[in-house]
Amino acid sequence: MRKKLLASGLGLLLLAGAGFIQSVSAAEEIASEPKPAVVKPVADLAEAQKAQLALDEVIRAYEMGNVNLIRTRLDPAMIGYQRLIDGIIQDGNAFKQIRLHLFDTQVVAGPDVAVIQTSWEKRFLSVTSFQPGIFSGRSMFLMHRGKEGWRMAAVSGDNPFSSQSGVLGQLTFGPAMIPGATIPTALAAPGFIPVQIAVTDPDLAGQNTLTVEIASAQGDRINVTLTAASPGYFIYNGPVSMQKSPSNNFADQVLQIITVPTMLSVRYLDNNPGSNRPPSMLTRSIAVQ
Amino acid sequence: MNKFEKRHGIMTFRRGSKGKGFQRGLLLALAAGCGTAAAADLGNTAVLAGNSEALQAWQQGTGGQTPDLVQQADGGTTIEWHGGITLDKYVNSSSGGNTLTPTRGGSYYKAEVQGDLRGTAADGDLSYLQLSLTNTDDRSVLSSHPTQINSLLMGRAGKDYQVTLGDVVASYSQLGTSLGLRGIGGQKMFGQSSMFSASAGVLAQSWEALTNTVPRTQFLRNVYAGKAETAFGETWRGYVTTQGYSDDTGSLGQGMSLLAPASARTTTAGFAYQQGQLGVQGEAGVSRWQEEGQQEHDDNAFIVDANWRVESVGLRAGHHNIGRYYSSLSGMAAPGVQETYVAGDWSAAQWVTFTADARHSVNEGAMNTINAQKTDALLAGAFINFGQDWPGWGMMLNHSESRGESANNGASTENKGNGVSLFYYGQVWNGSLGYNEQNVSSNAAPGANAQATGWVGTVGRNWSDDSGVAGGMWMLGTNLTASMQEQRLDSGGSTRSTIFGLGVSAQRSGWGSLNASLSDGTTTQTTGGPDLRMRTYQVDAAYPFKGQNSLRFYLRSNRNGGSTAATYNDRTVGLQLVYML
Repeated sequence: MRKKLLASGLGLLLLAGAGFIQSVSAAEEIASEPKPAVVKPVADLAEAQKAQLALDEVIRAYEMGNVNLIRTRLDPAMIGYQRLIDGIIQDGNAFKQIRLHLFDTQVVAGPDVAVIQTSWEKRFLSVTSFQPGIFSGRSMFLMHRGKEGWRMAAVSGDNPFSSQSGVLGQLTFGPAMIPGATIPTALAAPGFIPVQIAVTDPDLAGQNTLTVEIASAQGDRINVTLTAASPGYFIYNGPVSMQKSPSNNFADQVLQIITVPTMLSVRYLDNNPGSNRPPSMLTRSIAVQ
Repeated sequence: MNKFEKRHGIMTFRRGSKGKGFQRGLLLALAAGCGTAAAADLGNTAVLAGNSEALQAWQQGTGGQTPDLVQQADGGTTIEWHGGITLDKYVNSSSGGNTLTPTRGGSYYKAEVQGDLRGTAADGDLSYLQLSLTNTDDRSVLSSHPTQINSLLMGRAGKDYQVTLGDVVASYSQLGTSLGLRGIGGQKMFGQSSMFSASAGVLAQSWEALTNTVPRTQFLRNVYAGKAETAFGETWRGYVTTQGYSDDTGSLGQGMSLLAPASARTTTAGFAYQQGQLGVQGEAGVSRWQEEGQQEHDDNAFIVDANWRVESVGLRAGHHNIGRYYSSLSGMAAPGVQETYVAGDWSAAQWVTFTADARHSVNEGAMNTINAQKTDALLAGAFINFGQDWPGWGMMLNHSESRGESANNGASTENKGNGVSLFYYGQVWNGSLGYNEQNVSSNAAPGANAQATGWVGTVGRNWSDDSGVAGGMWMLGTNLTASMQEQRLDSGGSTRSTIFGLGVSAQRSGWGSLNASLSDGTTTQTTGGPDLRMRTYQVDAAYPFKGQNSLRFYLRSNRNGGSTAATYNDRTVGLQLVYML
């Protein structure tokens, strides 16, 4: 009898540990209380530490590619569950030696909910080139305390766990200033002005090219194609055709600069900027003087 | 009367009649911030009878340790103070550069201070003040400023209300508000079945960013949220929420953010039903979101989740539909996600349990990317135990599959995995042997298409003087681990990682604990370059003093060599003192 109890108890424990018995979801816990919850006072400070330890466990599992353990630490009713899991699997396939470093971390714990705000840097080696890469971002983790302890309920901001769950792209545009005198007039042939554009967007890891738009303040615009230098990092370092002209021909791939001084902007539509934010246009501008 | 008492290993400082005056001062301070309700309560006659109810509610609410109350001769109640300081002094040795390691060489310190001051009035009302902060000269811990407030909150809670100032965790609903803000929040119950909650404040990266002590990189976001909920009988509950935000355009210098400031308003309504083992909950919301200078976007969201358990079968199902431009104050409401799932578990016999989870999901955030927009996924598994004649033995099997397609360019992706693990857990010996394989393919980005297979084996042995009746004075454990993973790229080339690990842990009552581990491994490169050699070791020894005070020594080292591009070394040696005030 004792052996039987031991076996069944052990079995349940292992089932839960392996993810075969899913955790009770936060929504279910809310539902199990048909009356409004009694006003709850503040949590002990130790709860903040426990919530952070639960997040650390998920981070270590992500670094090791242990998807089964991560499944057990997620609410199965989490919105975007499959997107997150697929992203973790793909990261495990594309990156080696992932190391996730948290800093500027703040933890605020309520009785049943904790919020962890932190900056992070993710270092890795690309599996195809074995070149090192680094992504960074800032996240807000929402932790729920259920019957089985603290569990991750959501990631807001930049998602460090998954290359397709949303990280705000980073955009750089140079040089700092283009001398207006270097741009020929309309009567002359277009001038080729060197520019540098770089986009870092972990959502696009694995993609070979990326198209951004350069626009003048007068409304003309051209497309520029960036190529991947490492997973999620795209660069363009070359000339752009420009001339001073009143014509706005969008198809000629020549940027029309009518008056100087003016501004040139590079625009990148980040379809998945994280932070639970809808698709957003990222913009960087430089001066033409 | 002052009294010190050691309880649960924590030094607790209690005050009796003198504390009453101190408490009154604290409550006055809090009342000034928390509003008139708290101030009005100050005039209540102090009676100790209500404390037991407050303690009961406290324990139910927090699940944490209950504040200690001591009945004083004059009927006064208690002030309780918990605090602690953790001091670290450590030396880092680092090479390889910032791309490879966050650690920077040098000698650093880190101090973490936290305090928790609580006063429980005679009628059970609780006033509290919590502060936690970190000070360090290590820029890999705090990047912009040597001091950071981790949390700061004060408030007052009674039987039917709570008010909090400072760091407020507002968790109202999945589609409405679920986040932490800096401001004020409160709840008020009306009768036994209705409650109103509201919060207002600012979303900022930190207190230091809010006060402009460190440079901001994001706009300050002004937020408000409210929720009204009521119960309908014993089984139904309904609620409505309203919330909004607006970025403070003047809070960030020009060019500091790639994003334009935005604003949004959201309203949601939801319900929860619980009858026996059946639970259903749902919520719907509408939002209006606008970036500065851009057109408004109206969108909506809807979710419903259900769970049901009867005897040996458990079922759960749900549907989520979050519009691409839906925006709220909830960290859970990921925009552009639609998904439907059905999952269940079945204990078919005493020796076997089956599980399954099937999902269909749409990810609009993957538009114009190589990632899948539509995905069908299946997870199936089984757990087998070998019965009472083989106690501690078990086996787990699992299969996962995810097929995706992109609507834009017809690209498809497929993730497929299988795993099996045999294990034994006993009081003296334990061990496991596992095998798994994972195939990942995408015709949009075939460069990383690969098949990976891996083996993991562990053996552990424990020694202890624990007879199983009275508990033991000491324990010693060792653990050996070996793993091998091979990943073969479709484009050619493969990489193999082989790692061996040894761990030792020991503990003796009164002496403290020692944990040490060493792992060594190699990884071959897909490019044919030299093998990477990884070696990590760490030692962690703690010596306990009275109470929860302790002194700890730690040594951690990570070394990666073999490839010029990936060679780094970081090592930390430090001492930590934990002192509970």
